[in-house]
Amino acid sequence: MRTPYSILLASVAACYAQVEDGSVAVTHSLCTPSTSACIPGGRIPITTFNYGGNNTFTMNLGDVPFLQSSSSAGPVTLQTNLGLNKASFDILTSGADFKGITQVQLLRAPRASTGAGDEVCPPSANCPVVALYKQSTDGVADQQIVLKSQVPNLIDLVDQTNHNIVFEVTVQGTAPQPTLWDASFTMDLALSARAGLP
Amino acid sequence: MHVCKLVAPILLGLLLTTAAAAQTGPDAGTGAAPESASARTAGTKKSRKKSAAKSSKKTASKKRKRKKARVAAPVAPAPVEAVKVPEDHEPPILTHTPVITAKKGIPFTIAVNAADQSGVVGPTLYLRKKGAPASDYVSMRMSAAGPPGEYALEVPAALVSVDALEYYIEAWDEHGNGPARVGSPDNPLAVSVEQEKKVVIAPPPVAPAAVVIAEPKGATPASAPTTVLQATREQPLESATSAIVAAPAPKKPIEPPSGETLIGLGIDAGFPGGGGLSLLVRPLWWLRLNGGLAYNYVGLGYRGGISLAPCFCVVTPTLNLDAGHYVNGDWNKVSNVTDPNAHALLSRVSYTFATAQLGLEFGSQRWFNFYLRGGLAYFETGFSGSDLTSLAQGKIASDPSTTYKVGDGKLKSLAPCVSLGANTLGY
Repeated sequence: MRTPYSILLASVAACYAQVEDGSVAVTHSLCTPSTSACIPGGRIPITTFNYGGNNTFTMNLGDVPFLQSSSSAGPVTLQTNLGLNKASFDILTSGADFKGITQVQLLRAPRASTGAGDEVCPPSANCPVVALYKQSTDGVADQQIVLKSQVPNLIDLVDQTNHNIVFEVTVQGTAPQPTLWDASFTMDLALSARAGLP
Repeated sequence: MHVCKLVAPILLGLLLTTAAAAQTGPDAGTGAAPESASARTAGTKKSRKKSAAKSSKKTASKKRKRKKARVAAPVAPAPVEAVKVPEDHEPPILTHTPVITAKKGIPFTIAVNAADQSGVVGPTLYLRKKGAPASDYVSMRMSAAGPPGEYALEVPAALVSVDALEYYIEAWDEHGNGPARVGSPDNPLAVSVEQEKKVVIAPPPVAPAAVVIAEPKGATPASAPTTVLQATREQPLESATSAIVAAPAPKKPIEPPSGETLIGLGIDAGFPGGGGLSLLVRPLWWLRLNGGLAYNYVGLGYRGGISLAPCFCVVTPTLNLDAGHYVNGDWNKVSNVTDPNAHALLSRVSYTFATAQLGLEFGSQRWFNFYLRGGLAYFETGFSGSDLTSLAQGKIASDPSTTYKVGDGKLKSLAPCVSLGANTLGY
């Protein structure tokens, strides 16, 4: 009599429901749509970009129940994974390039920058590195800089009160040639949420 | 010469006695092995042969007479009858009518008449499945039945489950003379086990031939009976007969029923698979194929599958494997979303499913039955990337500088499922 019960229990334990989407691309323009270019260039050191208030942006994931790493409803456990396939900067200004950029870090910031001089991720803040580009290892970038993911699950970085992730970009090297330039930042995410028995 | 004249009548008498014994050898009447019979008779006539060997001419004459006696013996198995043995150093005399056939699963009786002036140590029946090794003989003590000297044993039905049996009977007298045998371990009597009810017993002989079956006197007279007693005492009949019983009782073969129907219709409903109407085809009596339309309230689909029904029973267990696809169902029928993008997303949901279920079907496999099934269902549905992008852009992105592009999404689920239904086959 134990065998049928075992089969029944194993069958129930095997039940699950899973939602997955392999590609959710979120693109954020560094300049507002009304401004074609806003970031100082001219081959100057890129510190202006770092401290100009343009280096933080907020991504809202919405009030979606499964955007938590783990939650339970009775015996059912919901586990969600939001992986970062890649992050990239794409130059939007004609004639500009990223050849002078030697390193880009995407940090998870505690809040958005309020403007020039408001550094939200000083070294003491220990902002986690979400993605990283290094010219020495990844090669010289031209029209696009691709950052490699450094975290397995972005869900843990989501602010559960407003469902936002605030990122700060820190860059080293020289700015593109144009006096003002613009770029977009894209994060390609993979979402997977699975509900089942633990 | 005088000595020869004196010995000659004695030798002549011995010669005649030997010839008579050869004429009634076991191979002549009971069908037992000529070799063993010869061996047995050889023992009793050993001293006589010594005398006979003194005259080669007389010996040749004796052989001719023995050969003549064998030729004259009947071919068909014939009962044997006792011949009086004047002295008590002879083994018992067994008279037996061989059992030739029996009906499978029906007990039958084997009887023997054992006569000895000093008393018989219960005749023992040795039985085995035909063709089994000699070690598989099962010994069973025969009981006295009716008149003195008559012994019988009813072979239990459990042993009559094979296609053929072989047996021989062995007896000793109180003085250890023996064994006297009908048949032998190497050449037993055969019983054909048939399905018919009729048990054929060899007709009584018109002129039964008398046979004296004897072993050389003094050949460990007590050992063989002791073995029989031990086998009987220490091994219950059931275990002692394992060699024969081990041949499993013939299971009733699963046979296709006559007049089976091949085509029919099925209707069912269940959760979460919905309901449907299917055409049934039975290419093999235990295999049913189905294919048809499915409906789950929000849309239509199609499906197909197989059912394995291993018997034509009143309650038949089944294994059912099905798969199908629902096309463009409008799930807004069962949801109350107000977001226009979510509404659009749910308005065209298609999904593929597969189920594995165990079930019980009640009724006739030939004409009509209804069933209850349970198992697991796997569902997989896709969502359009453009619909998801619209949903994300409208619901999530409040910042005009942020845009979303979502690829095709997928929802997979493994869930319990149950279904009820009925099948009718009519052709």
